[in-house]
Amino acid sequence: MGQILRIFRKDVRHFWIEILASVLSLSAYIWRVLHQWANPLTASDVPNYLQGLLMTLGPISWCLLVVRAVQDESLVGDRQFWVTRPYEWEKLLAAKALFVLLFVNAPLFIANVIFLRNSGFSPTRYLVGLLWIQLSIVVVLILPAASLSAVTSTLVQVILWTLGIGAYIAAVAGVSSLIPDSHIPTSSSDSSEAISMGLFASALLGIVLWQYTQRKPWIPRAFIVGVALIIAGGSLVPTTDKQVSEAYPPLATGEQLPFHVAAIPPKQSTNEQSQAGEKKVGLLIPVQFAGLAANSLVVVAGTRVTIRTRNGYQFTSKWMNDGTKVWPGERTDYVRPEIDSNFFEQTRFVPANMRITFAFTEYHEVNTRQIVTRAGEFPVDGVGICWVSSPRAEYWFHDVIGCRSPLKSPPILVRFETARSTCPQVRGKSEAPQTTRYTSTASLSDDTGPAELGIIPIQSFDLRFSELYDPDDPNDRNFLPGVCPGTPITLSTPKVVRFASTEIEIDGANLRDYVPPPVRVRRF
Amino acid sequence: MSHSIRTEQLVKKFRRVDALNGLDLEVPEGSIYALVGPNGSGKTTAIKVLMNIFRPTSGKAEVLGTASKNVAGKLFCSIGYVSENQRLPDWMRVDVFLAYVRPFYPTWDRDLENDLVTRFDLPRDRKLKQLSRGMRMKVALASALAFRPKLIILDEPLGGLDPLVRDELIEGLLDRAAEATVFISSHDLAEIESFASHVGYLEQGRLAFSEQMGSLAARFREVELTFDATPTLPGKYPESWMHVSSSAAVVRFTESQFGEGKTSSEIVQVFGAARNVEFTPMSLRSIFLAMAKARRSTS
Repeated sequence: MGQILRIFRKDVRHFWIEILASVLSLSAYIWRVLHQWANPLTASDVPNYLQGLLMTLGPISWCLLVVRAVQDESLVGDRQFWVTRPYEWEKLLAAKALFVLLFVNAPLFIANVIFLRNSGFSPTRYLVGLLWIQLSIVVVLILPAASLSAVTSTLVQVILWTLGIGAYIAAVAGVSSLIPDSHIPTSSSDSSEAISMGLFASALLGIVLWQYTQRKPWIPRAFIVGVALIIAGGSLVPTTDKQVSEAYPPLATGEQLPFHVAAIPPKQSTNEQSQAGEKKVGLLIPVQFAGLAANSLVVVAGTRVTIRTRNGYQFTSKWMNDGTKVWPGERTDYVRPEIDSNFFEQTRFVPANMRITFAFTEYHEVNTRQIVTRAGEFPVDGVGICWVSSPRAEYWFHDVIGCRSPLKSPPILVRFETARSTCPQVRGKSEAPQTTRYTSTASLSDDTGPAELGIIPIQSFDLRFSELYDPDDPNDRNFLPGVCPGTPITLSTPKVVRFASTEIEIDGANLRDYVPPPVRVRRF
Repeated sequence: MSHSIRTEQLVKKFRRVDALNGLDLEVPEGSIYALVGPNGSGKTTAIKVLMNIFRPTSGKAEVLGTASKNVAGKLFCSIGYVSENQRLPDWMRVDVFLAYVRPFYPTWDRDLENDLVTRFDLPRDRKLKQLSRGMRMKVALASALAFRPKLIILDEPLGGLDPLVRDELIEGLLDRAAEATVFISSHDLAEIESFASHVGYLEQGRLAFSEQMGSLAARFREVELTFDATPTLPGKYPESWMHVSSSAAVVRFTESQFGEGKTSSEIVQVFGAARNVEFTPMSLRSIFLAMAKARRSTS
């Protein structure tokens, strides 16, 4: 223990300026955010870039502290004095861990606790989530910085490695975007992500341990390059149709489609000309969803269009990441494939058969409960604290519920009956239409662990209701009633029931009918 | 006799370069062993293998009875290592540095530390980065001697230092030599000669010879023969004679296996009676030069 404390004290003495700068920048950020929370309407006196800078300074200073601490007893090279002194590698590593624990983990923990407390949440209730955040920062920031520091001998080398890795990731992403692929979520995505993160963390930890025991940097460097090549290879392999059909299998015989989907005639006037010089022509294919059972939700994960013309041409789009949410009731949506302009020119006058495949996830509501909204902030079980009429509300027609949740944004479905809205009538409409309005959190998945990594462990989000206008009003001029204090709302948790796919066909379609008219720019 | 350092067929390769090429070395306990050799002969590599800074490619190396690959941690409480290009924590002051390393060593002697600081005239309140190279070497040596190590390993500690600093370093070292084995690599043959008890000559990663300084000095002589007339030079000489040259009636050579009776009778056998025979003891530097030239002409 003595050796651990000696090395730790030496590091503190050496890096006191960096430690002080890190603590000060984090303190300034905490103070700034709390000030803004306390004065939401008057806190705009600090420019956004300054606040952004304060926010990034904390993590940057943590990275710097990790790098400086590890490299103070450099693990690369053959001239370090400490190598021929009675250092024990376990104690050296423990001293560095203690340093990081006190000057990276502890400040983050304290910041988390301050923000939780200030947001009205008891930190002791969320201890598991707070520890999860600590684990996350170890995986996301500390281990990468420590492993890079362990295979380099100077800060400049770490920066060069980081820039190199960043450029490599950008290049791989750039090449990957050129490859036709279907980045649609599959049922196995969450588990494979967790496995990938686990492997990533283990590999980084392995590099650090290897360097502390062996001090042979070429092997971990080669390992990093090898892993980067493997990852690049993996990310450049497009998802195959087989993988998609395994993730979203067609409905089995006798299995009922949970909703009806049908193509409807296109509204817009025909536009027979493709844009001159454009290589692609965008189509707009309207479809209507209906008939979904109450207490259900369908999310269209991806769509794909196959076009066969009678003169023998065929086109199949890549899987398009959709994300359309289908609630009970009718809903019109558009499928937007892009086809080659050559293909369009050769087929626009020929009747075509269009087949649209929908890969979807069906959810059912569970843990359904009804609450009545109140003026100001009110607690919502399983969500956190919400409001419908605070100064943060942006729109006068009340179609948003604002919420803040501790640690992470929970997957949540919300609906209310417009007939029970307590909002004043708008635009002289004498009678509120009888309908249900729906909304949900952006993510319906609950596999992200107990908390999301961040200095502020509070997730603020808006639940914005769909269907702003009265669907019975053909002119789209009447707003639907919203949520005001006193309006009862129903909350539930989405539960995945199945992943599946279905198809519809449009026979004898003229592609030119599906080309949207060009946007006209009015000159004044 | 026990040995503080022992290597057997030690090989260290850096890609295609053989830095050590089957090194067999034995450093007797209590000796002051000087490892000398030309640049690139493998002296520093040998020391770094012994200190477990480099891993050997093959062969064996032992330090204080421990395989070099296990030389780490507490074993360094018995080994004081100083190298000319070692990176010290430059941001520390001299007193902070000594205070930092002190608790690592259970045998640290505060009186000895003070004595060394005084003897080396070290400024306690100056940062290491503000010190000259010589002063930094003295700080490193003070920190490597103050815990009374059993083995002191010095890699080129004297190179580039002014004579005064060199003398101070050597004096400091000799004071400790009575209770430790000293293993020192150096180019500075003249300085080594004054205090080394053993010497090893490393060439191309191999030990050309290794022996006690006394026996080395005893077996090498510069021989000058003066004849009444120009002698006839035979084509063949005894194997121990090196660099035979003649100028008129004078013949000179280096005898590497000197014995007054033996060498005198060999001279008579080769040249007959000489008018005058002079045997002059050689400096270490002259011996190495003679050997290096002989090897070069052989190769």
